[in-house]
Amino acid sequence: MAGIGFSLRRMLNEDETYPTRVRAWFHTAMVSAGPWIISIIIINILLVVSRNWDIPYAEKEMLIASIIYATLFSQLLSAPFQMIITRYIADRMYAEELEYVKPSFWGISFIMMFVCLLIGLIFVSSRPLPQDFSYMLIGLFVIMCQLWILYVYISTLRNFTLITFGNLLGGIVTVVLIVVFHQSPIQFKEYAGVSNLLFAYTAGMFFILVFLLMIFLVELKEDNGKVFHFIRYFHSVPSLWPIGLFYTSAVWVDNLIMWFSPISVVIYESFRYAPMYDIASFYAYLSIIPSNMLFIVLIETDFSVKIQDFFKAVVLNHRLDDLERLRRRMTRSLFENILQTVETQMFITVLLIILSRDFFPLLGVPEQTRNIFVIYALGAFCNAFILIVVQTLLYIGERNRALILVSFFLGTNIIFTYQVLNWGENYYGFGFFISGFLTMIFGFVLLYVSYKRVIMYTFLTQPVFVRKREKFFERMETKIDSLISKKKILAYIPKEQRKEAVEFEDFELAGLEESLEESEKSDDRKTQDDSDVQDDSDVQDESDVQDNSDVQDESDAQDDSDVQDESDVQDESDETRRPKS
Amino acid sequence: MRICLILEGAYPYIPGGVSSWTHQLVTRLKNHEFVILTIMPSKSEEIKPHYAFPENVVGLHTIYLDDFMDLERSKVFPIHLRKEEEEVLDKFFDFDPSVDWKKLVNLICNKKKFGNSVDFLTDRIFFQKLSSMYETGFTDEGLNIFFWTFRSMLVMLLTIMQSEIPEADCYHAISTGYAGLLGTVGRYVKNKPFMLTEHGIYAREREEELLKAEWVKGIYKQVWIKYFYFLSIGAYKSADIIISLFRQNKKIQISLGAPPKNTFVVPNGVDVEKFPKHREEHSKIVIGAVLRVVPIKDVKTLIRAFNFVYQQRQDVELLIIGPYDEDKDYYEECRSLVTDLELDGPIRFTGRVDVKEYLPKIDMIILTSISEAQPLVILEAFAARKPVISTDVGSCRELVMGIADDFGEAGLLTKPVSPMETASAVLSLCSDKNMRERLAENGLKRVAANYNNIDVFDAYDHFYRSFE
Repeated sequence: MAGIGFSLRRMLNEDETYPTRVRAWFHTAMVSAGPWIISIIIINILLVVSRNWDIPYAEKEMLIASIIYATLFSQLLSAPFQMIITRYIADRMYAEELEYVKPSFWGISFIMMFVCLLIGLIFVSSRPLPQDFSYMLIGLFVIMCQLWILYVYISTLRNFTLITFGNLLGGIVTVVLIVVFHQSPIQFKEYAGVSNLLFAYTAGMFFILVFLLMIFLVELKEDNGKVFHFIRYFHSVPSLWPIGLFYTSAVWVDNLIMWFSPISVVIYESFRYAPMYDIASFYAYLSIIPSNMLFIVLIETDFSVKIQDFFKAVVLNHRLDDLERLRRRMTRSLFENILQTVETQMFITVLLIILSRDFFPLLGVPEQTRNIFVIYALGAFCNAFILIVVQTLLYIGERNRALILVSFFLGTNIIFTYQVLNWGENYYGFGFFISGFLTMIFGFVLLYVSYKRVIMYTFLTQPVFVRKREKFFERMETKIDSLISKKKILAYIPKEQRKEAVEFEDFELAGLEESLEESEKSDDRKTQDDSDVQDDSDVQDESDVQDNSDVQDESDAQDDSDVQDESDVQDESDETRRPKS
Repeated sequence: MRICLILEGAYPYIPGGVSSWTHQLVTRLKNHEFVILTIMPSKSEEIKPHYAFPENVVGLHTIYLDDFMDLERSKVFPIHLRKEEEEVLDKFFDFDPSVDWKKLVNLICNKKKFGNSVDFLTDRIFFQKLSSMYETGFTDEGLNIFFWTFRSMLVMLLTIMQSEIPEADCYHAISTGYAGLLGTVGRYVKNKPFMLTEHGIYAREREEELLKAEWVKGIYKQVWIKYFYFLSIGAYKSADIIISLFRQNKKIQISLGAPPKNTFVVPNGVDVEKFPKHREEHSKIVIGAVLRVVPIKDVKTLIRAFNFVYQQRQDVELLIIGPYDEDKDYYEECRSLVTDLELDGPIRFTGRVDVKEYLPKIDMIILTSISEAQPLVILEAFAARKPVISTDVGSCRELVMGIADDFGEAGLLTKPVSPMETASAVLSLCSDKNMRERLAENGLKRVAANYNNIDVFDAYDHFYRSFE
């Protein structure tokens, strides 16, 4: 969610009326969980449709299993990269180096494509699936991976309406294709019914991917061709990758374990899964999307301003008592935001649990799934706050603690899920809940302790000196860059647009310098009368908010050229990740 | 016995008074083995030894102030200290020289416990000590600059203290500061005698530099000054023998905390016999200035003074003898000053030459330094039978006026940075040949009696032997 903050603050600063708020929320939902929402809706439609169009039960299961496999493994694979790329984009935007953002997409997209194809081929070659179906499955897997990555980039864009539109259109395309294929099905040799449905679903996802990619490519013009610049983050923030991997693994590991439980089934010797458990967990994750949205809105409009003030004060050499005051204010804001989210999410979760008693039978969800859902929704509730804790730990650079927390989550989830298997079917889902609950409590304690020591931590973790030697990943990047010349990358953009892109850059730069001087002046004023930095920025309009980041960055370079703080002071990158749905 | 000589920014890389003194020491005392341990500012500078080592120099170790650039974290777990160790650290953070140096040095040099400097400077105990210090005297200062001032101060200090020093029977530091610090390490970690020779007063010199420096501002000037005094006093308290070049410096050392019973005066010396005493016939009156062209020698005052002299009489010439590649900017400034004053004819820069060849062509030696310890130039001038005009700094008064003996004056003294006074001293010597002769004779007597090299290095031999 690297870029969503600016747009949200702008939107809410323009006017605070109710419709604007709804609009802001809706956009947040779409940008943070668009594909989840769309795919859940489509899956439900598919289920209803498959029931009415007498598709064999086993084929219906195969469809669900395919979608679950594609979603789950694409998440596992892309989540760690999402973590790194989010941080990368946040840093680049912070440093006003927008020209790095676009090329990095090609780089990560290329890597993901390669890995996806490899894993996909290995998977289907070991399964007795028909050829057409295998290709579609690999296709869906690749598309999903690309989509998760693209979504990180989408948040940097300004045109949310188009993004929402793209998602909805993708949904509509899928539904239309389902109907079309029902009327005149493609003649697949085997599993014709499910193949048609999967084809419709894949096509819909592909449509969303292409649509969003076009928006992304057209709207973001800056491009310096440094495709693999981002891989230096594998060593400069080495723990981000495992944090992403462990967190996603922790979220899914109980499903994987349940695939080997008594309620698991194997379809066509290809997919092993536990339909009751998996579907319950999908619904449960859908229930926590509101807390994610709410927290993003709260954090981007309130907390992130305060944390920026804090780090700005650190760089601008404020006194300790001043830093302490800003620290307390930022911590208070954080815990208030969390508390507010807890209240709202608690209400929603309880409401959904109650409603599920009447609702699930309507959707044709079996009783046992509903039982699992009740406890799983509580576990998902905990998970929502684990994610929030991880993100807010990363805001202040506490990567080691975030890693400890997600490792704890992963470990306890494995242990308790295994344990619960012995207790019998009535307790399925409890393992995840116990693990989630313990991790959440542990996380809140960690968060509290970490925000207490943030001043010390901020200073001590700044590198003692800047090493001049290039590290492995930088050398590798240079090599790759020399292989791929900038010309080839630019070939992606049509000629006329390339010229436009240059002009756009010039324009941006000229504007920046002006606003920089402006805000420096206002900054001097602030330091002089030693007034509350936050109070000022509350009044600031949208452009000022954006400028703040320039100033911070500039002064970084000016004040501390010998002070050697790399980007570590600016750790407020915003590693938002979506839960599974 | 094997002696480890510890130097800072000098022998064998940078020529100068201290370096040539050191070279003479190792060359003279053939009965001892020497290991040279030199601290240099930065590895990136291209440095080559300027001196050819005699056979008894068995090793050269160079430590760079930016050696910390190679450090990585070595400790996984946070640093844990006992209460008494924390107390030692408290005094250390206060730069309080009354700290128990033995405990302090052994604590810091215990890398296993204390970690390397990167470990320590990223450990919470460092921040705790720092913030309690902040609370007691820096609450009006911004935390960022405060933090980085101390961090950069300590990263060098700790890295130097923890660097490997060669084994030896005796550690002999040729200044306090970082060299003295390593001597202290030799004293307490290696448990070997520690001898200290100070040509100037290190802490005073740093203080003067810092007061003029622009890179450090406000309250931090005092902090840096305190830091250097802390290092110096630590060396005074730890050294078994403390040697100064003249009595004034000995008094300063004692006033800073050197135990009087450990302090001795051993002046500089020259090989009196080796210097030519005759005068080669030449028409003009030649004034010689033997120096490195660097700001502390105040060459500009010298040029301005000569300008006044040249306005009075045109039969004078100024030879500036010595290397000018150390501070090229300053040299260029001096050159353009000479050109501006239209003195390109009578003033000559000779560059690096053998001084002994030039001395017979010179009628008097001049020195306009802002600061000096016990300049060899004056002793050499005496040995070559030349009168001296010198600024009244360091032990120049002792040398020129002869406070400790009855040989009488051997030259004239002037105030630093005063071209007019210097010019009138030069003019008075130029116009009085008899006076030049008389002063030169006194100087020769003095140097032969009190500052003969043989005696000086005998004294060091004696000190070294006393440790056996």
